[in-house]
Amino acid sequence: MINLPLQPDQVLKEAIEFNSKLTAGLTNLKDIGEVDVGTAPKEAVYSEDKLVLYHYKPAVDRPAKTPLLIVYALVNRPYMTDLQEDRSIIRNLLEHGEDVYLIDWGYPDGADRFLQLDDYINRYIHHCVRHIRKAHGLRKINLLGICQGGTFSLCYTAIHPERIANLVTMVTPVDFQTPNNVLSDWARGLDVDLLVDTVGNMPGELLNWTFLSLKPFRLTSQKYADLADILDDPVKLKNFMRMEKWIFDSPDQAGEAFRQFVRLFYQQNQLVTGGLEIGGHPVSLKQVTCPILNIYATYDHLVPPESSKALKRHAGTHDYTSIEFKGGHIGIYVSGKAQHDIPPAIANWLQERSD
Amino acid sequence: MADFADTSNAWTQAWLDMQKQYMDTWMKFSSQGLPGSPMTSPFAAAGANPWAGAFEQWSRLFSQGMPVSAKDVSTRLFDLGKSYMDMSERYWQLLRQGKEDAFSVTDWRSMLQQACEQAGKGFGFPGGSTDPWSGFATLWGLPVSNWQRMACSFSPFPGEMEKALRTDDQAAESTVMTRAVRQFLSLPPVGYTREWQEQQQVWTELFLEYTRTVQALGGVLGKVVQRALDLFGKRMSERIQNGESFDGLRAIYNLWIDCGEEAYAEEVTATEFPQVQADMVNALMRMKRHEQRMVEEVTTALNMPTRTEMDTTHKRVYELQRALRRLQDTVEDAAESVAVSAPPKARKTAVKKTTTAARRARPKTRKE
Repeated sequence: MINLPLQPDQVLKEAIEFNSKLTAGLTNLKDIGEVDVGTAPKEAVYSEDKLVLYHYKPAVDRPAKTPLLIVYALVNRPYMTDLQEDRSIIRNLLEHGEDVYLIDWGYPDGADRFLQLDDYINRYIHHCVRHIRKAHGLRKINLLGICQGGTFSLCYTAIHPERIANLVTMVTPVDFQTPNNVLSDWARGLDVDLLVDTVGNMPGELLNWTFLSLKPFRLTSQKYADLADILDDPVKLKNFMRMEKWIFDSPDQAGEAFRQFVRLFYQQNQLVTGGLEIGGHPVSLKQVTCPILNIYATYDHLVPPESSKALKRHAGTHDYTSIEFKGGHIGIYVSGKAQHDIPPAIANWLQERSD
Repeated sequence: MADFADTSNAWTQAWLDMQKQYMDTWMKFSSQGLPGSPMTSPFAAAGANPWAGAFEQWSRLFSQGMPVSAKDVSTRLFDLGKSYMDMSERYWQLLRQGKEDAFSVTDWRSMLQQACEQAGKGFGFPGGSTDPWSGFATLWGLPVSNWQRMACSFSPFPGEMEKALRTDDQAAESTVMTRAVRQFLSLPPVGYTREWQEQQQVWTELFLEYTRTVQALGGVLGKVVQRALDLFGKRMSERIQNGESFDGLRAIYNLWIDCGEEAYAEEVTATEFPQVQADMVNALMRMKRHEQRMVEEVTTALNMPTRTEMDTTHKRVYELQRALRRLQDTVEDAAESVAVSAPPKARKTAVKKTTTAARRARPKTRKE
């Protein structure tokens, strides 16, 4: 007779417990109410088309003289940087003396399908930078680009180096064809012209499916098994729901910009192989000569660390710093360790380079 | 009249009581044992998997009271719960048999493998049952299942269409259905509506091609299933041989998920998977593109605006706006350069010199 790895009675007991937890906890889920996100006080100071530029209320009496503009990705919503009071990179940056601005790209619709990367980089980001420079009477400001927003920030800094004092990139893809880049492998076989000509704007649902398909068993099954364990805790449940809201809050992508991003970056990898032009402006990472702080996550399944680390080899700067965060693409915004480590590291790095 | 919360709470309690009673019966059954028929449940009439069946029934009832903000999460939770209950029941049956008889490690592993294969039959591509994406298979067929749901929004035809065309016997399906469709496609279009018939035939070809690519992806995922089962069986066997036990069913479930992800990761980085997946997306897009053309023909005939016309208009507006913004930028950038390079007192003057057009173009701000 062998020693069974689990006793039948135990399975029954667990099944009962699981069901009881689920039933009792679902009452909490029913009473969850509105899932609020973004808690730091802010003011909309500029808007253009669907873009809104927010200025966060400084948390210290004398914030840094050079403001920091956060450029988030077009994928998902930027409130991930200020998800809730105790999970907010923005709040932490403010508390460490930074003067923070954030671009909210909004939700593109059918009328925006012809927006190009040129519009996002040389128009929208450019206008936000101009607004901030003017408001503060400065020649240069600091830029913090996140994920795809980091790629945009690199392009912007390469085209307009005279406007950016320091550049921080977080989980930013640079070399789009490093080994084990599953997203890149998948994107390369796509007929992106057919896709965009057919769907117009890239649907958020299709992007979501792609991201969930990277780890389907964890992200669509195990996650909800774990949820059953916290259903009876209203605080943890609310935290879960905020994350869930963010994950499935996926704006459609302006068709032309999406076509260009897939073709120029994923399929042709022009940011590192050369020849990239945005709106007629040549883009070379060698033109990025300002100080760079590059933060990447070791377990990032969307932007593999090697993709971000390539920046060191290709950038023109002599002042390059990197931070390796032991975590994943999402954890770098919201985990307790990230809250503790990342914002002060950014603030200190910027303050060391302030005039 | 009691409000919904009271009713709901009372119902929840009633459900918990009923469930306890239900499970108590199982417990009793579990400890007594029924020699000769250890795999038969006293609730066999409720269906092949009564635990999961019962779970599904009450989850359907409960989901009706969910607020909009929690609807999606509750649906995913119920899906998971059903799979989890299904897995619980299968393990209970498996472990119970092992407890009843004097099993060797090899016997137990073989039985485990058999049970896994039984579970896997529903999602084993090709040659599985009618619905390879349901029940326990949700743990394995998720990428395809999610794709089917998502693809619904891309076509005027129902997303379940591909699934509906399957039969219990896939081999028969491939001959009977394909033959019928091919016969339809081989008919030469005639008469006044021949062009429309041609369009329909082209669409059918594209649909068949899309179906083929979905099944091809299913085939690749079938390899994931097989590999995951191998890994799972191997790791379970190692534990049994080492005399290790599991903390509980959740530990087995977690091991299962780990094996699934490991097998999936191996497969998705292989060269075949990205191509098969891209083929599926491309095939769906070709089909949808053709549908759009067909729809536009109809709307044009009815003198209604088409997407193409809308796009042309949007493009013209966009290009006009772009040209205007470039002119404004030239002026604003020049004014800004003066402003930021001038001494503080001169800044106000420099800013005032911004052209009227540029001032008008500046969007309004708002507070939150």
